[in-house]
Amino acid sequence: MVKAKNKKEQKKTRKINSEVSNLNKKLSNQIVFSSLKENIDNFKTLFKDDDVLIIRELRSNKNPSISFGLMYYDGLINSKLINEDIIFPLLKVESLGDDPISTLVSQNLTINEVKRTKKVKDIIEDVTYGDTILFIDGIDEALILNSKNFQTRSVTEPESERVMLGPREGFNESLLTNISLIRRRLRTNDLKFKYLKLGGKSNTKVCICYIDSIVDKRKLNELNKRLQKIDIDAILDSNYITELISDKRYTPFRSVGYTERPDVVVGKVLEGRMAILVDGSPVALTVPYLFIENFQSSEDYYMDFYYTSFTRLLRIMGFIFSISVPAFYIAIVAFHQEMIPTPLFINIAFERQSVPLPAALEIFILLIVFDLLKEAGARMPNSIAQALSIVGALVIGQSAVEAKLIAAPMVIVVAFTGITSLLTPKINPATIMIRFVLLFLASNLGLFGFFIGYSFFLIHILNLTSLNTPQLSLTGTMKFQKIKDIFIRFPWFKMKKRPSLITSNKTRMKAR
Amino acid sequence: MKTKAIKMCIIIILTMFLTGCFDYRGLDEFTIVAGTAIDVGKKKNTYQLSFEIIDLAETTKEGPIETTIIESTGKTIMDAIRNIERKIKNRLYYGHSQVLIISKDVIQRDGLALIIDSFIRDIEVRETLNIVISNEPTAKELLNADGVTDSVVSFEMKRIIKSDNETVGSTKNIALFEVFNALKSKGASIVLPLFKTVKNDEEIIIESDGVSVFNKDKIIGSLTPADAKYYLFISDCIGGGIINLNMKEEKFENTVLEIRRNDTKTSFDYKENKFTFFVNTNTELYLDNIAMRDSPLELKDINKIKKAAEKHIKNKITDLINKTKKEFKSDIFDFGTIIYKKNPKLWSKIRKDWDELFINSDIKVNSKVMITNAALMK
Repeated sequence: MVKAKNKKEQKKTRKINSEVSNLNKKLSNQIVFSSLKENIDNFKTLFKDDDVLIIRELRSNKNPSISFGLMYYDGLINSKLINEDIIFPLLKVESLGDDPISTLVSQNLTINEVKRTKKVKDIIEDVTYGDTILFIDGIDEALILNSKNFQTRSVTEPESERVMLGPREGFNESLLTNISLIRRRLRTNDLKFKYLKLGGKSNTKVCICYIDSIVDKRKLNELNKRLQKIDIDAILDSNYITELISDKRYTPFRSVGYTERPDVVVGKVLEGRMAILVDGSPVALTVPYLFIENFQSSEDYYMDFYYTSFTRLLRIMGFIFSISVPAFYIAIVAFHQEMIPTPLFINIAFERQSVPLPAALEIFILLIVFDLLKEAGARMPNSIAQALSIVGALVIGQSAVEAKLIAAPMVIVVAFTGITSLLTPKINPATIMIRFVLLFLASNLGLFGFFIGYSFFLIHILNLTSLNTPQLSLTGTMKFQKIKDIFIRFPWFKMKKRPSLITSNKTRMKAR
Repeated sequence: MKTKAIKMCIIIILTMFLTGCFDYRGLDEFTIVAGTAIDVGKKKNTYQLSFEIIDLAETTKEGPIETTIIESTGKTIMDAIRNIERKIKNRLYYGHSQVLIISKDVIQRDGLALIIDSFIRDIEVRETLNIVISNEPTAKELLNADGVTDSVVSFEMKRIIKSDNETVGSTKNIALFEVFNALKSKGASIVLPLFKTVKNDEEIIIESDGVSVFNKDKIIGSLTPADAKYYLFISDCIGGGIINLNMKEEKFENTVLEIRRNDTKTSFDYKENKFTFFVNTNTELYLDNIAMRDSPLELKDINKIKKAAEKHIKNKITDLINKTKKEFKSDIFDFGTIIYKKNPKLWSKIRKDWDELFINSDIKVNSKVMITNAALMK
């Protein structure tokens, strides 16, 4: 019975789908009519129940036989520009000559960017992006006039990637602004921006950015292939693309880099990577993404290399601590007590007297509570977040220990884990997942399980690729030149080569 | 694909349950044993064991660690250890136990090998556990003493033994596994640290009291702390301690030298059924103290002190070896191992008569001294 119903519904949806695709197919082949009235009627039916679209008819006051149709979308346009540079000159047109469109473009309209089109589909895409469409009565072609003017956020420092030193500009949601921020930093014709349109409904503009002489052409082709394969109705943020072009689908590790900073994009592009900018998203993507990029920060290159090498080592250590400290603690406290130094062992044993829960469960709950507090704080306004952190720290930390609900060393372990995980925000999803898996293994099998988990994740990471480039390679392929930007950031005068995994045009500096 | 996934699951589950012998154990399920004392029981052929356990119920956050002594008796040592479970809630945990104190009586009755056997076989006991011989009538008296710098007397004892060869040189630090190895190899004699109790102010505290000397697994005597220092010289274990010289003729009364480093190399020569051992010590000394003089200390004075120190060390070592030959009639310096390492064939040949050969052997001591720091005041 249920199956039959399901089949019926399936049939129904299939029918609707085919109708919609038929309509779309029709639309993609539809061509502008020559009669103005027909055109206006056509678009009025296409934009039925949409009151924001404005369609106007004009007649030249010098020669009333010439009539125009203007179509634009309210709110996306610059009305002053339409009044002064489109409507005003059109009203003054005396004659159109043999080629009316060329005459209009070259003699009358004071608009910087004009496109001619016959396709209705193009018109729909551009009118909803803030352009004005001009129809001329008797001509089966339309003009697309650039009149875009919509509200964007100003260029501010990105919240997620703050720096102490270095450029503070960040991307905003406008693609053109973002392109301008990159272009301003690389004033060469070698830098290319290629447009793509993705998303069946959203028609989102996506821009691939690379440096022609440095980029690996095979990787560029691979990226184009993958982007063209994308079949989704809308792209609201660049992360949609991240998940659709990743090499491995089920992994907590990233295979596509992200940044909100134009200087970072320029730095990556200069090493032979490709950047993907998505209209409507302030987050740019970079591919190929190496594992070590999780620990690199733009600041590493703007500050003293001794200091930044130290902080990079701290970040790598922080990641390792963050995934392993809770599991290691449980393994030792619950399985291998002889490994703890005697005074510490007695202290921990003393703290664990009359605590109700077993250590493994306790640390599990505390870690969940920590992530809970973090998640609650992330969505709060700053003023409340502060109060929240105080309540979290005091209630969970102090009172719970005093009430003998949890043991004091456990709070230290969890706090340490939490703090170290904040060092590497880019790899945070993976950190949380690995941490819990290792904790589970360690609380069942002790150090044995801990190392099983560790080996498993190491093998997994070694298997990861990004655009068919291995993300992590071990000592087998190690060369000194290749590790100059891995654990330690060498000074710029030493880094004469670009990373060889990414590009074959390796010379960054001509060696003296 | 599916069968692969099932196989993977089976392997993971099997590795979880079929491997290893460890188990989850909460830290509140422990009774931590710091030290154990083994005595002769009141009934015939029984043991009396005393355990110093960490009393976590009495310990407070502010105060020192509290300990309690629990006693139990049994026909065997394991029996006594298990009998204690009738008195306490949690099982005894030996993972952090530091010392095993044995009274002389029980060793002379059963032998060392039998007593420590169950400790060697147990998985929890540390291989670095120190075996201590009580110079008091019972071993329990040492556990009952008070710790001065550590409230747990067993931990204090362990620290005394551990740091001894760098500060005083009065006893030997020898771990459980080393004792076991020595018992297995038949030629070697064992020395173990000896402790006694002394009165300090109001309380009774422990003090190291030289070493106890074994032949096979029975006690045959002991060395005083002063002799033990030169025993450490011969067995190349010394790393500290002081040497008092009394050079009345040169007017260097109360000269004190501190041992910084020492390197002893022993070699042997075998001719006509007679062994000659060459003990070469090479010692680095600091000058610590010297009697007040009119003229400043010159190089020739330092040389004089050096000569005296060399003579002193040489004499002391020779005396000690002669004394042991006479008293113990046994190779407590483990010269047998040196022969075994250099010439195993010869060793297997002479092994049976080794004690006699040792007593008849010649010992030639050659001491070299370097005074590297006189702490000269200008």
